[in-house]
Amino acid sequence: MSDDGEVDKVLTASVHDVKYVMGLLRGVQFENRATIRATSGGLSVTVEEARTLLATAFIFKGIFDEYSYHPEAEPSSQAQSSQPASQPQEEGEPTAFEVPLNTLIECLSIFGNAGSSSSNTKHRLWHTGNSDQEDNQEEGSSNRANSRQNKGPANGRIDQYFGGDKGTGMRLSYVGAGHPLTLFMAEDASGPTATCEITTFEAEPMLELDFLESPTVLKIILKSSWLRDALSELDPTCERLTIIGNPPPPGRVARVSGPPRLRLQAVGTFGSTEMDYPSDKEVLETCDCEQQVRFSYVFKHIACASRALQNSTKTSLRINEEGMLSLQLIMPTARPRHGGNNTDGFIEFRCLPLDDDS
Amino acid sequence: MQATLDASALKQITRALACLSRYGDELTIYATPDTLALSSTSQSQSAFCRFKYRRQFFSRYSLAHAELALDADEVVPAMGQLQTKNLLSILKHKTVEKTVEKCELVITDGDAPAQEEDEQDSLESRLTVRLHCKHGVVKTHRLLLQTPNSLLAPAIPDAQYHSRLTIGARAVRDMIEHFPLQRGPKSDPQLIWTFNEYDVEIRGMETIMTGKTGPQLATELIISAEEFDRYEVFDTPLTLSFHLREFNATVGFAEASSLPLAISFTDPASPVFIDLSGDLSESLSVISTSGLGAHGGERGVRGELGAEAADQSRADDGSGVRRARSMPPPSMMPPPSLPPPLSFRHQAQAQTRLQSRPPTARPPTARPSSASAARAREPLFLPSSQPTELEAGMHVPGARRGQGADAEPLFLPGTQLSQAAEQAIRDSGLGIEGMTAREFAAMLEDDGEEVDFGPGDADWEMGARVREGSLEIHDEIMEVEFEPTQLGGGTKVSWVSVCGWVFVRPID
Repeated sequence: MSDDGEVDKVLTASVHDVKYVMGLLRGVQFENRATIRATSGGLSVTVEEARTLLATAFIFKGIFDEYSYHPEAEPSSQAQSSQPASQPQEEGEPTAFEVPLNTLIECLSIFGNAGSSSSNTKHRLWHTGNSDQEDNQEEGSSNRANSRQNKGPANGRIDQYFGGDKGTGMRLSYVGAGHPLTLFMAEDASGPTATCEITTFEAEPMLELDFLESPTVLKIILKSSWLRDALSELDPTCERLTIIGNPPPPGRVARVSGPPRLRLQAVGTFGSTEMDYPSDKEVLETCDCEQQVRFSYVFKHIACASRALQNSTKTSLRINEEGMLSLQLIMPTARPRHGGNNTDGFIEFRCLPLDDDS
Repeated sequence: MQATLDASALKQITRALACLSRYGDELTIYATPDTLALSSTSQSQSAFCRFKYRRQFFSRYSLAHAELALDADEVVPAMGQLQTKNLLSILKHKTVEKTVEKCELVITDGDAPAQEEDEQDSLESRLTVRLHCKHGVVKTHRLLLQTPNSLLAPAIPDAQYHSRLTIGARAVRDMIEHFPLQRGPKSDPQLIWTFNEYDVEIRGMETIMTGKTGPQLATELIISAEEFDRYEVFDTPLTLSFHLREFNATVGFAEASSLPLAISFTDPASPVFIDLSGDLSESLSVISTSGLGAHGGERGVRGELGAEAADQSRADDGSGVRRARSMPPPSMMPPPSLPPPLSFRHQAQAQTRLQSRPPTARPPTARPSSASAARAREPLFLPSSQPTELEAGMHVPGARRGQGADAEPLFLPGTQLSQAAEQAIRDSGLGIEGMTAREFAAMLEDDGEEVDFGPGDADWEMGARVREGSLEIHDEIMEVEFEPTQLGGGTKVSWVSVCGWVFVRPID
């Protein structure tokens, strides 16, 4: 199968700027061992931590300029995988392989301009331009304007058509089991190119956390910045984070005095912290909660999400009856593509609660 | 204690905490009905910083049980101690500045019952920081408070010999920026300041700065005294050296708050005091000098002379007092023989200092009671402008000894005594010589031989007059003098023993 040539590669995908893909990958970069699953709808990258936390980055097909997936013609699974892989339950029909995630990210940033996080790249460019005056905000911003103007006429206009500042283009291909993941990268047509081959491993069975197994008891949609700030403000020595959801107060009276709809509580070495979020549309977009919900999680695990939260706009926070937490972070793409088709990727974190919570 | 801050006040507090965190790891909070004081002492007790905020600074300020107390003096102050960085990391967080509209600080006493319904009763004292953000988000941080291990504050040794400088923070920053100082947590640069009559000379401390990187640039900066808004240096030339870590923190705070620095100091062995006064807040920083200032050659004659006295006291009590030039051989100068006209001549030179001198006619017996009353009212800190407590101690050493627990010096009894001795001798120039002699006999009784020398730890002006008599003991003591000088340059801790701090514990 694998020696049949280009067409029969299991996976081929290309993107003109890896920045967005990088942002998704970095969101789950707290564990080196990552399982990549390819389906006809896109890629998912999953990492697992302490048999408790499962983080998956979904990179949809639409994000790539070009994406083709031809499942391996394994006799055992061929019959099933000929259908589009749309079933939520992944039973082996997607092609799965394991790669060292750190290596993959290092390769993708080989030209150095993929940025540590996509939203910061522009910012960093200004800073390197005016490193002398970094301490002076005002001066810095005026210089930024100048440097913009200077480079504006030359290449600014044409760059706008190609997505602002120069990115690294990438084409990845995977021939099949036993073959490396091949990345071909270039900054521009005339510049240097790089080919990286990353060894792949057979996918080990991952932790299975099915959120929908038991009914959802708390469902909140909020701006990611609230959660991001909360996690960054908590004392890193905290061991556990308790999420408390309260039902809306009966009637429409005394909202202020009632218990907060969402409370994050953490106890650390030097004291405790509570963050209360009222049912304000600016804070909690929706909050569905029938009765008080209270579950504790290992703070370190929840904090794994803070990197992904940095690039995310909205978060859906759900807790089911068993206490399993599901955080879905929407990672917005830079610009809409393929018409109204929503191709925003997202990262999902699923985390088991601490047992001893009463 | 409950205090509510608006966003701008919170910013000031955060800035103050950032400054305090450069002084020491532990932050002491002390709240009286009228003021909230935040202070920090460095681990080696070589620097101290305190910010005081009047109740008007807060949008709301109240001390629990303050209404119940019949007398304002009986209100129990709220106090506690915590790691500065824990509080600072909460308040300095980048989202705080943007979103916080109001901040509440509450000190909950451990033995008092919890007043809020969602607050558990506990035996531990807590500082609750409640940040009210936009959109009704409330962030509550509870930090455990320890019992402050010391409520000591340095008192200004004596008011009459202070040299006073006033200068804008920006100007100081410009001076310091000329020195190529190593950055990083380990480097602790020191500068030597020589105050002359018309200019100030600043040099880097080469011995400290020369590290593995080999010889470095030796920078020397001379600036005109006109750079200072106020320049009153007593007894020029005067050389001081102190570390910059804490000094820079204060300068940085002053710059950010656009307050001028009011610097005062007495002699090279005593700490430097920096006052920053705002409308509703005041700050006092005390930085000990390293006492190495005398290695400049410009004071050869006097330095020689002073060496012996320093040797004497150090050899005797082992406290490492270094007064490189200040003291004549003590045995030559029994206090009764002090020529009073000399003191008066000196007063004429320094009119302003004279004004701050307390009237010597006050009956000594009245002192202890007034001092202890003052202590009860203002227990933690001596206001920088109030030397009464110290004087009381010096004029009535018997009473002072009796209150040992109350007013014992924090460290360096030896240093403290010689400070006190100086003060008393100066006062003795005004006609209380006989009393001083007795006092010092009493004060120094535990350091055997020094009883004789004690009174001699006197003004250096007088030392100059009796120069001839000192020559005989001059040589043999010289070597003693240099040994600790080298030791003193090594670490910060060691020169704590050099600085002439007077710590007074106000309450027990």
